[in-house]
Amino acid sequence: MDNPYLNINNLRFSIGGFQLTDIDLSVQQGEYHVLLGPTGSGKSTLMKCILGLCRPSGGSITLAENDLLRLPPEKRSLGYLPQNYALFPHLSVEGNIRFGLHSRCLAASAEDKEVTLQCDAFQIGPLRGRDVHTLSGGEQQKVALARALITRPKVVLLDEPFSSIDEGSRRMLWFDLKQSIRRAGVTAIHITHHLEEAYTLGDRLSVMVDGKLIQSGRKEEVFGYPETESVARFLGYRNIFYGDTRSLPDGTEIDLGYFSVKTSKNIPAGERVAICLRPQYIKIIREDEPIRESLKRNVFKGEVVSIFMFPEYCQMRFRIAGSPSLFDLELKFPAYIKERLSLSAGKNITVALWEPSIIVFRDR
Amino acid sequence: MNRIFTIILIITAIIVSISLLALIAGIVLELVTSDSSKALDTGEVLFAVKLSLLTATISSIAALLVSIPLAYLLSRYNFFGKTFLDTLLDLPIVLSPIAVGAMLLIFFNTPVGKLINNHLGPFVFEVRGIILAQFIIVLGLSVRLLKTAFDGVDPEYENLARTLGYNRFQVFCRVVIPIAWRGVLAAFLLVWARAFGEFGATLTLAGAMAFKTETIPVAIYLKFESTDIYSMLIFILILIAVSLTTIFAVRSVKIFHCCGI
Repeated sequence: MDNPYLNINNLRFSIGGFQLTDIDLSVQQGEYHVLLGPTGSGKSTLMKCILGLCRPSGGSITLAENDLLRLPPEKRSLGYLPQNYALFPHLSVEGNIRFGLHSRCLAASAEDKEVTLQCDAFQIGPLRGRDVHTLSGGEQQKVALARALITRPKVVLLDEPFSSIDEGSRRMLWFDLKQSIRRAGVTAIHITHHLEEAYTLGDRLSVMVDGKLIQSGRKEEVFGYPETESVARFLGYRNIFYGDTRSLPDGTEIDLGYFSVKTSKNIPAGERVAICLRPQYIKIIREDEPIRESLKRNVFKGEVVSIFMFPEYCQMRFRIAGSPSLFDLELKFPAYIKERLSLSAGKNITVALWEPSIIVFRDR
Repeated sequence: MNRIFTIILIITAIIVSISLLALIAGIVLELVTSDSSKALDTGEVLFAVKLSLLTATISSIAALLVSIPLAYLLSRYNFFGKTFLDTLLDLPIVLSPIAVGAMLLIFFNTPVGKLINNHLGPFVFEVRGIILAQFIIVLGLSVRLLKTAFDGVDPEYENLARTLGYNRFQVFCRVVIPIAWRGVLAAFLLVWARAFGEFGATLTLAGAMAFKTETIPVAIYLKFESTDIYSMLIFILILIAVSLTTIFAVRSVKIFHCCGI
């Protein structure tokens, strides 16, 4: 990436038994970057290092080529939206927004104008005199964001901004939040463990697991092609197996014990690898139809163990014939397929793996 | 079993309440029936009240000024010797006040103590001694109460204020104190009440001299010594009234806090 706006190199930090290890992260100007990871993966700690609230033991952080580690938090030109919004309880809505103007040293009339502009931008004008305790979660978020953006930061850091908002209201607020950030023209780093939120909001994503930044890239790349097993597991991938490779004339066979998977990828024989078979790409084969070429190499006969119905899809557990396991594969397909193929527990069916979707993790 | 447990709780509360009320009632009853032939010296009462108010106010303000940075330090920072400092501050709370007074008296007999006594004093057998004794006695309590008040302020407010361009001192003045002010006020009132009732260390360092170092607790002691029971009861009632008023004020501050007022 050419001249990243925010650049983190080999950042290290440790506290108690937890540590951030060699974090490398680049964010372009104007980008909406989502930092995704399970709870306790170190996302908030990394954010605190960027903000200057934690002192890293090594590495560098530069913003527009300025060394941030030399500056105290108040001089870093970074906006911050904490998880609980941290609206000052002793100040009104207007007081909270005005509080951020301290660093800009404006005259009183200019301050008034700036507060009015910000209130209009977030449509919170009618709330100006309100006590912050009386605001809803969405209103609190708007006030906190207005307060963070009024300082005109170079980058705004959002720490799980939807964690205190109920599920039903979140989706609308996702769009409002991104629109506000876009309108302000500010670069954003958004922390979340919510996959859908990350995919909807992020231009680019980075995935953190156990204090390490494992993968960064466009959201489609990260979600479609996780680079490691840990990222795949976090992204909700099912059907992860371990096996030894065997060379074939046209690819590789991975022996998973009581069944094996063939792939056209060439992997040296005898290597221990992990593979991921994505549930939505395991197809149910109808006996009256020919099997497509891309499905032919991995066909399994077996039995439906159970079917779980969700509002938008079905999840099915499948046991390969002769397998000692309770179930071997999880499949995901549109709800209408269940009716069309008359699927039910105990039914014998045939499934096949769509070869391009098989992900092999060689470096575990 | 649940019913018996609830009954035990209620009975305990009733017994404790009756016992404490009985103590106050005993004082009032004794006052009504005691020999009031010895006329109460209102001048002495006024002197004791004024001296107690003055010394308690000065010592509590001084304790608060010293405790605020100490309590904030203990609340927010981890540093080498923190446990030692914490333990040291507890000493005046657990130590007998007479022992603290004796320690102060001995200290003023050392070269450093004499130097301080000569330049900032005199403290021994003087009003300054009362203030110093009260200050030392309430310091630990003051730090404890203020630390609790600061612990109640979410550090996230401070983090956030830093990102909004405020340095540590500005954050303390514009965020921590305004949020914790009810706790600070409650701490001041309790510390003041404790200083108002201080006796042991005062007696040892400043002595018990009528119209000189005669705070209300000292006056109670002097009247008890001279078997002037009627005057002693008057002083005790004044002490009870001041203490109850202060505790009520502290409760009110906390109630306002709970109501978000």
